[in-house]
Amino acid sequence: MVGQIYNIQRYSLHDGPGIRTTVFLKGCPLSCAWCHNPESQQLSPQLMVNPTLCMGCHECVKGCETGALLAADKQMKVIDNQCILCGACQKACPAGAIEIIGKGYTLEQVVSEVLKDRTFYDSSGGGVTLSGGEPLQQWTFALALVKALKKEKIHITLDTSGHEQWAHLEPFLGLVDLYLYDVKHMDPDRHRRWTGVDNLRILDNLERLMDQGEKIWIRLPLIPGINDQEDHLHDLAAFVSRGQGVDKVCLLPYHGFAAGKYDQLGMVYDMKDKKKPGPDRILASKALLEGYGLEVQVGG
Amino acid sequence: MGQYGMNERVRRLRQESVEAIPRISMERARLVTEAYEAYEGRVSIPVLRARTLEHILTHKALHIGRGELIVGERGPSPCETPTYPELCCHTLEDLDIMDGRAKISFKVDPASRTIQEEEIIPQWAGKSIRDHVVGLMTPEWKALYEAGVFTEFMEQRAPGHAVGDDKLYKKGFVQWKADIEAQMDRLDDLTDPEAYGKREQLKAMAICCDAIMTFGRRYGQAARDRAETTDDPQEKTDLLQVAQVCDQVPAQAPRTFHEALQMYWFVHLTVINELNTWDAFCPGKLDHHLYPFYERELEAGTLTREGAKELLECFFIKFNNQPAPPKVGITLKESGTYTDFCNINIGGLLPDGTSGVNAVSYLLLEVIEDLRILQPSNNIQVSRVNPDDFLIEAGKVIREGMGFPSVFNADAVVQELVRCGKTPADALTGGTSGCVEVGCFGKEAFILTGYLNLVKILELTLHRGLDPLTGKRIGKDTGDPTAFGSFHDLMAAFEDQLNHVVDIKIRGNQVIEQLYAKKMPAPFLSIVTDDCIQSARDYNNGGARYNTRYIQGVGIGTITDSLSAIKTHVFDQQTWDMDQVLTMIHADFEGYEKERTRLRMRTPKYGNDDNLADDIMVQVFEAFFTAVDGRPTASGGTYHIQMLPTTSHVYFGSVIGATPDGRKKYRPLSEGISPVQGVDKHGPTAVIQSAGKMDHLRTGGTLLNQRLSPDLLQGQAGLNQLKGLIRAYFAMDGHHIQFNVFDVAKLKEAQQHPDLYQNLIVRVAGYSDYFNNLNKNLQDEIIERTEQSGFGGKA
Repeated sequence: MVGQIYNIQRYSLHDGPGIRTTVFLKGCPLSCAWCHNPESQQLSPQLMVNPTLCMGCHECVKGCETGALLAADKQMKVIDNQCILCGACQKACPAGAIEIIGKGYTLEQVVSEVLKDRTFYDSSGGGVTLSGGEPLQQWTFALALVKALKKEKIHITLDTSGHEQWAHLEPFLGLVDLYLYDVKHMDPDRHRRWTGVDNLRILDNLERLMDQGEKIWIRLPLIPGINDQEDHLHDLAAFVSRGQGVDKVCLLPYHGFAAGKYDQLGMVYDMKDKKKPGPDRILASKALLEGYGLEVQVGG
Repeated sequence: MGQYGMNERVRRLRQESVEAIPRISMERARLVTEAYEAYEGRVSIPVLRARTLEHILTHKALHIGRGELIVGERGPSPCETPTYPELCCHTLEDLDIMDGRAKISFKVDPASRTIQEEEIIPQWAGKSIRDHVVGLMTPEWKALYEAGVFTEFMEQRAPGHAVGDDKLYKKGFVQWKADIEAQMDRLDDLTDPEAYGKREQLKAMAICCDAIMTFGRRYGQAARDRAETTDDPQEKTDLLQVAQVCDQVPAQAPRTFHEALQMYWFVHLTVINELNTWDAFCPGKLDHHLYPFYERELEAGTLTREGAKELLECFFIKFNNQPAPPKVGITLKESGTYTDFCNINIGGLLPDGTSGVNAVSYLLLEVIEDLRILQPSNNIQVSRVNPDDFLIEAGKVIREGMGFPSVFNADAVVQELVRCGKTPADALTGGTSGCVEVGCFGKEAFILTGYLNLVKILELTLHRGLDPLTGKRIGKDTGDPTAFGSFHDLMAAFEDQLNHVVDIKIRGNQVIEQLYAKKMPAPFLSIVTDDCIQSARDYNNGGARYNTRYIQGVGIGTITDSLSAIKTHVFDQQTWDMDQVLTMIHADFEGYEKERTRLRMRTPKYGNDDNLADDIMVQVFEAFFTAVDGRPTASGGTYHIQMLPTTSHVYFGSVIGATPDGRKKYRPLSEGISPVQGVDKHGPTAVIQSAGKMDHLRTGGTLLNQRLSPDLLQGQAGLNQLKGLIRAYFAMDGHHIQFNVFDVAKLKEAQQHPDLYQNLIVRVAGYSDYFNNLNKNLQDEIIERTEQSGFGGKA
């Protein structure tokens, strides 16, 4: 069994409790306008060039066997339809500036990689987080991975958008210790406007998880003018404060750090002019949610 | 946080200490000269040394600062620093350099300069230990020393690294003297051919007991005299209290918390007036020693928690008043700091193996956070049996970003000591001192002899024993590297070169060790070190129960990455041949930027949990261990290794050309066992995993420096993660880890505007220093060290 993974991040401190390793699975059904990991959206591998590392030596152009790379200015250009992702350019690059995002990992490879830091999970109450992309998009691989890690008694966190059939989420019940559950918007139309899909399935799955008494941290990316309005926050708070399950709400204030990655991938970033929320706005949002008896954390 | 915890008295004393300007005092040099004129040739060497100490302590000026509760200074007043002409007789040029240098300066007034010229130099030039060392070392030793292949600790400071144990608080010097005299009575010249030497040694020790008691009495009298003349009722009360304390100690054993601290301080001052011992002296497990006094007095109502804290703060400030005496030449380069490396141990294990964390441990953490001063250094000793809460409380101080306390694995320390031959019971009384060095407190002379430049030895190997910087042959011809058929051939040549250098270093060490044994005994230090009285042998002549000498390896990260580069690109991938690599480094990579980038970016590096690199690190470590460990020392001890640099990694880098890891010529080497600055790309867990592959238990200490940005330590979660890093490293038998907590922006700003960042303390290597005290190279190097940041998921 092979999973498409674009990063296995050790010493991950903001994706659940303690010191963790986060496995980033590639592919996502959503395409949020503010997405911070645009390289995660497409399931298949992609070429990404880091302009800071690139020294303009054009060794990659010489190394390319399909003529997919052109010397351009001080750096280079990729002709997408000629690139077969063979990795020759990556090997030729002295600076490590070229990366092929996404690689097939066997289950055993992932398990062996994430168990390397087991001592740290034990000493800090940490574990492994599955993130993405949307990890449930490769739900059979994710499930096999979770089962293998459960056998090793590793604390498992699933970071999900929730946009997946319930039948693909249900098998994780009882195996996952904590869900990091993204809620982007409570209104289906606005949700579709900003993420490409409506939220009906997302909220339905969330309700089911809450009904099952699963441990959940809600993650709300706080995007000014899009979902930080008071009435929207009231709607969200009312929804998640019903019943059991939701332990905490994490407010993730928008920032524009990912803009550069869009360029590196040849993608367009729509939110270039978006400002990050000010501290007053963040604190007010926090206070509003706390008014519902919710524990609120800013960040991770 | 911080200064709110200090009361008015402490705040003022701290301020005076921080503002005091280090100056040279000629007082001790004059007194030593007088004593030698009076006694040299008339009495035995040990008695000469004892009489010299007695002369100093009987005549040196006393200083009682306003509001002080603990009294006594090394020199005439805070930061006035004596010289030790019998060890190192400074030239006038030395004094001018000390006075004028931008960092670690000592002001020399014209009168002192004249005294040096007219009284000290005529008496001591050519006679000091330093002169003898220069005269006795072989040309091959000198060639390696001058090329920066190793340093020599004992050429201007004396063996020391000594730490006090609990006996200091159980007995006064009246009793010590009686014990010494009883031992003298047992000597029989008829049956013991060494009885004469032993008697002289014991006689010297007895004189030293009188010397320290005289010193204490003089302070008591001075305090009483001062009390009579003051009109301030508070000051009068304080002075009379000081006088009463000095009536008791050091002659008798301390009865109170206050007396215990003053007892230690008199012993400390006496040790550092006797000789210029490396790392001064240290109270070791201070919380363990003080706790019985604290508990008893709190119970009896004669002491409050606040009162104890005030006394501890007054006590700490005394250390800060004593900059390490001025160093010159290479010794300054290897240890470029005012810090004198007294390193207080907090927590850890009791002699019965149970947790030693007590109320005084927590009090000490508060004191450290309040004071924010350079000295004394301090650390927590962390055992599996110590509570998490202790680590969390220490974490709160660590995240304040002053580099204190550093963190040691108490369980590993015990195992390291046992491996080196200590009984388990003695090992449990041990700890760490200086930077990271293990020792059996109060029972062991564990002497650092010099840093070894592992990277320079590789450079010599790559040049058949020639120093490429000078073209001189200083090493062994270990074969033509371009003819090596495998990586194994290269490693074999390196090991050959390493053994050759270590042989020369130890040959020199043996001579220097005997030089001190014969010419520079330390009878006072011998009193407080078991079993010098019983054996009637000096600390500097193998009199201690355990005798250890260390050689400290430097640059493990740089050498590992350099070897990894050669293995990867010359032998495995055959990107280039050896000749091409040598051409690149000889050109300092000028015209080879692409190649240099590949060496830096596309080569397995130590610090990334990458076995290809880490296996090479282990091979180098094993070669160094095998070359040194277990060799006998001149006075009956054993050699062991450590992995620490103080500031020598900067000096050692400055004498090496470009290296195959892509490092440019003269740049600093990696520090301690930390990875090369900036090459660790997978965060602290990977660094710790790499470092954990070294067998720390077969060393006498290793030093791992980890940089964290403050946002990683926020809140309870941040403290918990810090605790997690520490516990995990120690589960791998890691020896020591220390944390620098600050961001690069702040450091760069501090470099631009030093006046605005007077208080910025950073972790250097085994100690912390004010950022402003560091030279530009070291500042740059600290900025370059990888700043670890948390890798958030998607946000």
